[in-house]
Amino acid sequence: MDFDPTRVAFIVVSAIAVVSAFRVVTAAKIMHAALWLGLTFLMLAGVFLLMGAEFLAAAQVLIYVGAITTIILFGIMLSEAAEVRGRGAAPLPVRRDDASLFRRIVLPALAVLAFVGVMVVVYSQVSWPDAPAGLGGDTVRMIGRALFTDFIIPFELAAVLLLIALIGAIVIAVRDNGRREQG
Amino acid sequence: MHPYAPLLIFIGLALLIPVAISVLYSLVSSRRPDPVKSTPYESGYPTPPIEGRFPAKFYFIAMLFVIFDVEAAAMYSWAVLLRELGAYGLAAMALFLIVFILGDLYVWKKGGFDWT
Amino acid sequence: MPVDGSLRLILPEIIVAGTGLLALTAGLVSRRSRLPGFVSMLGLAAAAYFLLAEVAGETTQIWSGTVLVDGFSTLFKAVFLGIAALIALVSFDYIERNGLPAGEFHLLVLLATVGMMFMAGSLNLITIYIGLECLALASYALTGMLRGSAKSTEASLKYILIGAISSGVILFGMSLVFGVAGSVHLAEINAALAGGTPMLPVLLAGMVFLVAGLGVKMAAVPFHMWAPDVYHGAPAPVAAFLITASEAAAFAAALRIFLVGLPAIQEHWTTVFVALAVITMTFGNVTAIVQTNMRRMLAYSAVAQAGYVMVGLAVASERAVSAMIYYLIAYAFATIGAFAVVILLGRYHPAEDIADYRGLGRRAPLLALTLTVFMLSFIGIPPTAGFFGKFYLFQSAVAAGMPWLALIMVLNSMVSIPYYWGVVQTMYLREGETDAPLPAPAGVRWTAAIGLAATLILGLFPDQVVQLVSAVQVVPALLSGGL
Repeated sequence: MDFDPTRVAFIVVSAIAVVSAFRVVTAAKIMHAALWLGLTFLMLAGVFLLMGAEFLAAAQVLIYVGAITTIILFGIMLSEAAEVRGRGAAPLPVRRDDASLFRRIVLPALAVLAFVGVMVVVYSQVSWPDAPAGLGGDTVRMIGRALFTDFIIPFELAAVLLLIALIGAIVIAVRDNGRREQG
Repeated sequence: MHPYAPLLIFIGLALLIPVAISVLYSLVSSRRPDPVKSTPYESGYPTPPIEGRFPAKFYFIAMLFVIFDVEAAAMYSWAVLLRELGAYGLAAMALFLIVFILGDLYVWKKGGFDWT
Repeated sequence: MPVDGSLRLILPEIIVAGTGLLALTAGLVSRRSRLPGFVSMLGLAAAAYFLLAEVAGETTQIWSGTVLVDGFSTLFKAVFLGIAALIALVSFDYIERNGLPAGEFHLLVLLATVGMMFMAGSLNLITIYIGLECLALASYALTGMLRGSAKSTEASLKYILIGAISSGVILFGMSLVFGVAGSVHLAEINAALAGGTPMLPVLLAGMVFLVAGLGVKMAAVPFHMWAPDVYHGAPAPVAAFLITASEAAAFAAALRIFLVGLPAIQEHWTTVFVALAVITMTFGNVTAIVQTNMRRMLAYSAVAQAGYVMVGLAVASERAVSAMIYYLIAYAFATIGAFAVVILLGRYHPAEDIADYRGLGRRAPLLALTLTVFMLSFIGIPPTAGFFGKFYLFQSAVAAGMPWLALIMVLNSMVSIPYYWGVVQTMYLREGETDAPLPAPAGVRWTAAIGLAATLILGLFPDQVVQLVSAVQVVPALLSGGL
């Protein structure tokens, strides 16, 4: 087989992604798990880049590596449990009854098996068509053109979506002192 | 050359420099440890583990950050096409931003940007 | 270029969104908490006027097929506008009493309505998805609005977690379908699959993910886990909104996605929907029997009703679709009317137990009578709208050669009699602790009256409405030539 740098890079990047994804689940401290998750996101951006999806890669770094990982870290710092924060304190006692065995092992295993089964069937039984040849170009421009011509309505609707997110965040998170008590 | 080769070189350099500095440091430095030097940062007392929880305020800021980040990502492809799209693109982006800025004004009015 | 005369076709959506911002401003500048509600209702009326005067009767695709205007979308949009207006009407007193931020409440309801209007008004998966997200995000915030209530916060958290996963699942399903068909437009997907389904396993996986993701929004068993807590913990008007509008929007999107986009694999999704419909109605009804809390009972009843509606999706004939729409409209009026009474009772009995309805027949005779009519409609007893809706669905199942499915529906309706009738018995036959009359605020009275009138009119004179809903086509006429 010829030496194909893209293929080698893909194998390296996806191997790191798989290993760090595995570490997300197995890391003892949840803070470490969050950092591993950040690495997984970064490697996925690499995979996107290797497929020529530059815009997707940039968005992945900007939003997932940057914002989502940050919000997860803040979420962890909000919680008090020593187990979650992982400062050497004893972990919370884990109840080991039948129900917890079912919840903690059987259900997740079933879900994972079902999903993996579906995905294996999906990807093994079919022959995916080759990627369209024209996709090597400037994907940022292509996406921009599509976004501002054909998909302008969904794009403006996305602004409404962000507005809902902003206001929803305030409604749920910020205490409104004054008006509420008068009611 | 592969189009992403510069990127690879850049990542390689970024990894190489800190590694090189560490290796160089361990090679040329002399080691005479004493108790004072071993304290963190060689200054003051060791910091105790952080107790308690961070204020929820941090999380709210992080939430706002995510929303602004998504908005910035939406502007990315527009900025690249600025000339090509012309006035129409400007109008489309303006509408997007007006809706979004109304949300900002609301957050501002509700004190979402105040720390206290 | 996209800016042309077609803007007037989405004027109703623009008016609703603009009204939302006006209502928010009204809530910020005015201390009177009723002003945003009035603004909201005026805006909804204006949007409905434009919808019926300007948009109705048009069938066209605009903006490269990201938006579709046709009879189906116009009818659903009218339903959403009506529901939003009723929610605004019923929540005047509730907002004041619970100190909810009125401007934000109405803004979120209105923007959720905009999202639902786009869900029904598009054949483009991307528009449908963003509409769905608008609805979902607004619902999470609305659910968690009762700050002092731990139940409301818990409900919001559960809804966010399950809703976020369901959004991801829907998106994954859409991406698999896109991968096979090479388009995000449902008509083009159909055209691509018409010549045969080359990658059937992938397509089926996509279908399963779409069913699961939309099933969450419909509260179909086994994707209903969030529903009882959310319908119980959310502010009562929000619960009514989610049970009626959010569910109807999910069904509208499902009808489009499966009937327009995926008829090539109809045999497969029919099987899935038949199974889901049977499980959903049976589980909902059986669980509702043992509930002692009024709102939880209504929540499980909502699950059961979603099962009935899903029969239409399983049958998927033209008549079944009309029956579904009829049923959704009838159920929406009865539910919001029933919630008007729940809101009133919740004011004096915050626990909202069914036992609190003792003696209501004497304390508020008119409202008790109205609630009785709604319960009869839920069971499906003539002359209420619920009877005709069920009959219509039943007929469509029999006509499509699924008499056993119709039989299961009838059996389920019989199972549901005890818990609906139990409420009526409690109101009339059991003595309350007090005979003090319950004064009802005007908004509650009007909502109950409108619900009652609609339930009876739909039940007594179904012909006009049947004409209306049977004129509606899921697959718009402009496409059926090419399909």
